[in-house]
Amino acid sequence: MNQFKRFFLSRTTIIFLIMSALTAVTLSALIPQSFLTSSERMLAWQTAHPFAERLSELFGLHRIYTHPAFAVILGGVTISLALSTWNQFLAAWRHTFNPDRGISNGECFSVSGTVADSCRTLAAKGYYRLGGTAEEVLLVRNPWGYWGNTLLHLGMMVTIAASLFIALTQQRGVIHLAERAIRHSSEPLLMEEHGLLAKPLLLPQALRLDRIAYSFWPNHGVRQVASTISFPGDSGTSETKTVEINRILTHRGIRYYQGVEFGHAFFVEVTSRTGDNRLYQLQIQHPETPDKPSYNDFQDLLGDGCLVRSKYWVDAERKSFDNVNPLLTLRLDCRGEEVGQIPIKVGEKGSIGPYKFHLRAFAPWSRLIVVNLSGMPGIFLGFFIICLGGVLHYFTTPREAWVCGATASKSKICWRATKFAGFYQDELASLKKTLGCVENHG
Amino acid sequence: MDKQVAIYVALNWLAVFCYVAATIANVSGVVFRKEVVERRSYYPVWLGLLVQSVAIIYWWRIVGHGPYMAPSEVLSSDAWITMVVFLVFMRFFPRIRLASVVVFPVTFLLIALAIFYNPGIRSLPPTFGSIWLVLHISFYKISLGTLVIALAFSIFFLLKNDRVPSAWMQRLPDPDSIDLYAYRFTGFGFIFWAIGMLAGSIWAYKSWGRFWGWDPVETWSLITWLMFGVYLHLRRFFRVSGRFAAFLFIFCFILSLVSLFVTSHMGSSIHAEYFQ
Repeated sequence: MNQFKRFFLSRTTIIFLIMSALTAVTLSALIPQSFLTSSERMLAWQTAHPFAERLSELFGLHRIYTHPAFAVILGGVTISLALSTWNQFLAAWRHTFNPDRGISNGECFSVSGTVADSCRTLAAKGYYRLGGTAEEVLLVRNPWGYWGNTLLHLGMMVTIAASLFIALTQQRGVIHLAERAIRHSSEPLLMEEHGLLAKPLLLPQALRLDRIAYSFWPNHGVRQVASTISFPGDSGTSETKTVEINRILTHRGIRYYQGVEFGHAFFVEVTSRTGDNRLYQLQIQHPETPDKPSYNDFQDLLGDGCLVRSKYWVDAERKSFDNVNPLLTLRLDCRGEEVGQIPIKVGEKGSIGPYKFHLRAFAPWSRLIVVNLSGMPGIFLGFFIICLGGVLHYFTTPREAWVCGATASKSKICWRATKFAGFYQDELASLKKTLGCVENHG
Repeated sequence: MDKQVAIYVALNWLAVFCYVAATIANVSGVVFRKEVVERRSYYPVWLGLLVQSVAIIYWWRIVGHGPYMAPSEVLSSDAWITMVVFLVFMRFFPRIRLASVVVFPVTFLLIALAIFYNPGIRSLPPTFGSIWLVLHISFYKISLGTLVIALAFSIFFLLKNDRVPSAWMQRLPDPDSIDLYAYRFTGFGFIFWAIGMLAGSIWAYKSWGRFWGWDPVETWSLITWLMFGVYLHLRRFFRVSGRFAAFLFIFCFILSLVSLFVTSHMGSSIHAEYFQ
């Protein structure tokens, strides 16, 4: 056990672990990670960097955070932090409740007055008595500073443990829903993610998007997006709630976040040459300005391998976002060549190649982010402990004064700052002056 | 609108002139050992700070959000906070006073650079309306301020250990103390950087339910923090000090500048709205 502790607490191991974590994170910043990069972009990167791609494939550098080596580094860091926290806890406890006699590496000087007089003066300067007898007393300014390092490392450990727990158990996904549409609980979520110990998220009940409200700044930047959702109950009644950006909705344990993505969904009826009719919903993001369109492509939408490309302006006259009278343009590309395109407004029809398109209706849509996770209080607690530890460690350095009787009318004081001693030379000089220093002992 | 921009730019220029005057007086006071001149160099600093505060508040009222979107706002507020952080720390640690020969020029360079960007009005994206965002950004700015002070002491250390140090270097504390100041202010920067990063993750969780997204800005911020962690551990456990520590700090400082000002241009994420 001792060997195990010595290994994980050795300064070489600690530096090695930090350097390994640093290398892993740096590599993840330089090499596209598969969980963050679309397959098209990944393919483009692999084509552009064949050598790096081979290395990445060999060592699994495109999936660093799920690589066993990263788990080993993280495990090592956690063990080292845990042991170090415990050691530092013991040291802080000893300094606070069972301090050593005397001070090493301090500066000693004699002052006029008895031990009790010196203690009184030091107490007035913010020093607390931590130990000693009537003749020998240890006083410390900022004794809580002993706990800084303990808390700093404890906070990191709590944060890492909570992050790991969340990564393993979280469930999340995305819903794109048009106004007045219903999403049933059995439907799978878009961009679904779940931890190794969790199953894909299923919503506990259906939801209906009643209304989407959005507003813009004078320069057309998005100001706010809000969705009113109703949750139909078993008894026929429904519960209506609103979610907006920075105002989270929690319903039956699931957290709903309003995404910044929203726009218009177009309901297009397509009739093929054989006379088959089908209604498609084409969701396109809201344009950034009234004079510019917004685009979306739908690969193999019609089941013939062709690409349906779409764009729309909110206002067919391209003047304002207030006047919602959209103009949708559809284009069909087959085998890399344009077959044709049509601009249509609501109620209008047109043909491209063998297909007839009829724009039946449109409605706003928005993205809702759905999250089910626990463990965030652990992260917040860890953050709080780190901040507290950092403040105690760097801002409240303990200054120790050991006071003992030299003669009947004089006492000897040994003083030191436990860290950054050079910073407190002015304080020492001022202390000597206040105490009436009569003689230095080096 | 043109008139408002003109007033804002004019106020910034006025602040630049104040800081330039302060820098000239301060550096000449330090180099030529004229204590009165050095002491008086703080008059234009206070004036510059006042003028810059007025400029920041004025622009805040016009654009309707704090100075953290457009490059001109970001750089100007970085300059302001760097100066304030220096003045506040100097109150508690008077021995850092000579760091002014680096802090003053950095301040005026930051604000001068801010003027070269178009101060156009940038509307605030809806997710940016959170107090956690304000804390997130503020702590990074404070961290930058403390790192500039640590940079000053790292540079001092290298200059003082030069074969023929300048005469004014005699006024600086001994090399060990200079090294210690660089170490401690890096520690302050490390803590403020951590708090900034943590506040950012709370903001992200409150805004879109994810406390960490591995976007380029987040990743490089973590890399910078880990690098400062390596620096602090090397100093504490391996007693690394002197020239190597000074050069290592300068490397970390450059990395922090890259994280703060370059990485937001690297990819599309929520951070891409910042400093564009």
